[in-house]
Amino acid sequence: MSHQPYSDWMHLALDGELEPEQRSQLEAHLQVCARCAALWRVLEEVEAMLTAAPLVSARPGFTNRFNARLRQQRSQLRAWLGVFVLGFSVVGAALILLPLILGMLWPFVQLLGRPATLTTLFDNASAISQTLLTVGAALWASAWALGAFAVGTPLFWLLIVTVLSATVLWIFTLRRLALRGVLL
Amino acid sequence: MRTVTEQDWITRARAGDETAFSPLVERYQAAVYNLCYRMLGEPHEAEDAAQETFLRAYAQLRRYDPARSFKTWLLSIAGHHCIDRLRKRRQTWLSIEDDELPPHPNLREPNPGPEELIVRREQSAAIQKHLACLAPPDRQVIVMRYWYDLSYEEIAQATGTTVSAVKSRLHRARGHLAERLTSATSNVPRPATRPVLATEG
Repeated sequence: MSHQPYSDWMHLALDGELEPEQRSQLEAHLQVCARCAALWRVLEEVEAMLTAAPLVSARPGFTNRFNARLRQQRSQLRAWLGVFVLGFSVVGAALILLPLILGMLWPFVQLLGRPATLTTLFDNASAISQTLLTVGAALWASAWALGAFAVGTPLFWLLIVTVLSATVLWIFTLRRLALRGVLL
Repeated sequence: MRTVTEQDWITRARAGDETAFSPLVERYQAAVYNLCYRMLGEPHEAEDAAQETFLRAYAQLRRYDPARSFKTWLLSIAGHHCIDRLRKRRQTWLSIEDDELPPHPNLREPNPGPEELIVRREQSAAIQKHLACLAPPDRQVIVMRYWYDLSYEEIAQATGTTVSAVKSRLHRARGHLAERLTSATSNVPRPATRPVLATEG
């Protein structure tokens, strides 16, 4: 005797999805087929067992424990973000400032290679004023040289635009993080 | 005065208000914990998994589609997380099939009387033992069906499968449980009466 589609129909019957006509056929089959009848009885037992199973609850204070865990997780995240923000800011500032500082200091480094000039500068009675004038002249010269270099070099402008964009983007990101309560 | 709805809490939590998420945790913690317990069978691991489910839900809140049921969405996260845990358990050679499950956590409470306690202990141990023999995806479908009364469509949505796959898993899992019950009680004589289909409604 074929037991199909009756075994499938039993599951559909348990889910309340069996058509009335199929239901009648299944009932008739269960009256004559001992094997399917036995299966149906066991499926009913399974159904009863699962339907009667209680809903298990967590220990009291679940929400408080969750809130504590969320706070701990967020403080860890903040710490990591703080390190990231600080590190990235330091590196970014160094990348921007270092070339400028080196450019400014370069004339002085060149002076070190000419001891006679240095001696003259510091031996002279008007050494202080002379030094200041030299420093001013050196700064002016380096700024002028940088300006001249910048005007004639599109790459420099590209660098400036990139740095400015990165700075704006960085400030915007920090503001968003602060607004979302991640940083502050 | 207008009452605060679930969607209001969700909207506030999505906007970054941590305190607005607490009422949602309070409301659904039993449902999520029960799923985790039924899937994992161990109260401490179930608590950890349930907490992790809510942490993930909070982190992914922006991805939640308000057109869907929030409960089904949470159960979906919990179910996937539990399956991941069970996979890891397998990787550490702790077979799910051979895993003896601890007793129901409620059985540790002193409130029920001794007779009731024995009955509950037996029932709970039997259910957990039977559930533990199922493959995790089949177990997930059974729990969603019987403990949450979710429809085929809702289970399919929560598990990321099709309705026919859900039906197939449900039928297979029930068949497997029936086989286990048959083998467990094969020595017990059964009544000779013919079964009758229960009347619907």
